[in-house]
Amino acid sequence: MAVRPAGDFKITYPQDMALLDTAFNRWGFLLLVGALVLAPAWLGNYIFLLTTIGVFAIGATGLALLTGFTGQISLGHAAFMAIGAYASALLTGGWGLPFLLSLPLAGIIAFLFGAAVALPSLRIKGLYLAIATLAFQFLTEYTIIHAAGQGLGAISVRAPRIGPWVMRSEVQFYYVLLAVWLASGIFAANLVRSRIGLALMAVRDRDYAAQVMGINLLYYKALAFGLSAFYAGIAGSLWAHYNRVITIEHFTLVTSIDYVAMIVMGGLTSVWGPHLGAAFVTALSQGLRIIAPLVITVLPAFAKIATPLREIVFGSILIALLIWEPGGLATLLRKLKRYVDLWPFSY
Amino acid sequence: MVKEALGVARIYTCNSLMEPILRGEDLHLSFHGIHAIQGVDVDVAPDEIFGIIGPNGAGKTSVLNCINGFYHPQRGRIIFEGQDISRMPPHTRAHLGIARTFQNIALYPGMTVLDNIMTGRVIRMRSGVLACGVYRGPAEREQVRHRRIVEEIIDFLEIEFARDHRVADLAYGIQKKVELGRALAMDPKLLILDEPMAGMSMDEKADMARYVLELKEVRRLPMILIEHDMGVVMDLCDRIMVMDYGRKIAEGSPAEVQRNPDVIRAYIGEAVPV
Ligand SMILES: Nc1ncnc2c1ncn2[C@@H]1O[C@H](COP(=O)(O)OP(=O)(O)OP(=O)(O)O)[C@@H](O)[C@H]1O
Ligand SMILES: [Mg+2]
Repeated sequence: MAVRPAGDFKITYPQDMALLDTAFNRWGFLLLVGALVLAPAWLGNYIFLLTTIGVFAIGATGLALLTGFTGQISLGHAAFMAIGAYASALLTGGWGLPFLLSLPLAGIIAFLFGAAVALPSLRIKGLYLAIATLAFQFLTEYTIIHAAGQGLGAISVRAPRIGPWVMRSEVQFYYVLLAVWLASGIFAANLVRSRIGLALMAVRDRDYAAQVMGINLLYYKALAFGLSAFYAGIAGSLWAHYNRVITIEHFTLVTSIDYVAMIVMGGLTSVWGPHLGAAFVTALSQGLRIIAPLVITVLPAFAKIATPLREIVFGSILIALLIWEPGGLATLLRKLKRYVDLWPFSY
Repeated sequence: MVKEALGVARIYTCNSLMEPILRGEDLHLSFHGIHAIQGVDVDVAPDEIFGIIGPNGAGKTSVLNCINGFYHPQRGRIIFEGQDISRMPPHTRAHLGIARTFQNIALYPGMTVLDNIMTGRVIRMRSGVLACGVYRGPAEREQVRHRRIVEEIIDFLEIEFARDHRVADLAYGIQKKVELGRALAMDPKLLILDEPMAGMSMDEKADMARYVLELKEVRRLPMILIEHDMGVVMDLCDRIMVMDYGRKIAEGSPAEVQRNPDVIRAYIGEAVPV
């Protein structure tokens, strides 16, 4: 007779501090990665959905570090994505750098911009910081449109190449993206549980107490802004090389707000939040894009709400989550798992 | 016996044979015309519990805020271990070894007890961003090493049961303990406690007093203690400074301070317990 231990017993500190701390989580993660690896086989043409989710999950992970873990609001996340995208396009196009080099460089350039934007964050907080980042968003849009000289900053981007190998198919690109996605997600999860994460959360929860604990507010706020911009820059570079033509339309305030929706819906203080949120928002946008024309043909009376359908649905979901489950999807899932574990008992 | 040994140490400090670990000279601080501190001198010896008492609004917390760097006094200097720290920001002073707790609890409400105390170790850890992001290897080993120290503090404060609770969900008295633990985790050279027992039950006060004495006698940790409970102050402190309206009105051993007529006048209506 097989005996199942009545729980996961953690005997050492490394076990207690592990990212995937139960067998359920470890197997679940393996299954998830397996499914993502095999996805192109059964998604066919719809692989673009997963690519989109991956790119925005990377970007959202950055914003989660900044807003969820450091408590700094940003409405300019898409601007950093734009900086990464245009930097990478210029580095590979004008300078002929290989994609594998331009990708991290795009991140680093965005990092520097992010750290610079953080400088006022020592004096301004909350809503005022949001407005300052909003200003940065508009400034970036304006600069790119004018610097490009032609309509909406349109620029063509080279197909990514690794050595002599040029990535031409969606599936090839997807696998490169998947590697970056996994690496950046794990990197962020590690940061959060290490000393850096402790410092960031201390700044978020009570900045003056953090100071008394020797945490330099300016340094850690700049680091958080820099890291979040780095992630956005990486996402931007990937997005540019995936789309092959970019315009500023890819990186407007609407995208910045989508990012905020992703991390709020996914769960602000969970390392899974940005991934769940990116998947949810992307799937919902695509779904609504299909549904909206149907609404108009089937129910002409509702044509008026079909156009802003996306805004209406997103707004309602956000409000509902903020009221009933501020922890977002990540918390909902955790509760669901508890419920299933304990079923049919209620506790 | 221990008390006697400490008594000897006290005589030495009075003869200033021992360099003070902290010295504040002629501190002046005012906010838009409110004189919170008016010419206060403080000396804290490296082996004593230095008490600050006084009525509400006397300027006690303001003195602490000057010492840890939240306020910059308009006049005067603050010397810590022979170094002038008057111009340093709070986080630099923390690195030098000044730790404190707050009159109104200032924990990180969204974090667990364990993580709250772990943040005290942040300044003692070295891993950079890359090492932390990779985690495997140096960062993990460092994390484990510091986790051990934090677990010792959790044991010391007898709050094992609360380890994984968010501090916002804990009772007030336990939060006060966690705050002490977080300050201890910094391995401070000087510990500043702003009313650590305010609002606690008798049992909790007794626990807190026991921790303070143990820290003094085992760790030889010098402390500055603000407390309104006179019984506690008189029992724990080696020397006491009495403040009123931003001025020092008396200083000395508990017995001396209790006899001082100015002190009795400042506390009129509030009997100074013997
Ligand atoms: N940041 C500030 N801005 C304006 N006034 C202040 C500030 N901090 C303290 N004060 C004033 O300075 C005086 C001393 O305050 P402080 O908090 O140091 O007193 P305290 O002795 O700690 O009192 P309590 O026993 O009530 O804690 C008070 O009059 C207070 O109003
Ligand atoms: Mg006070």
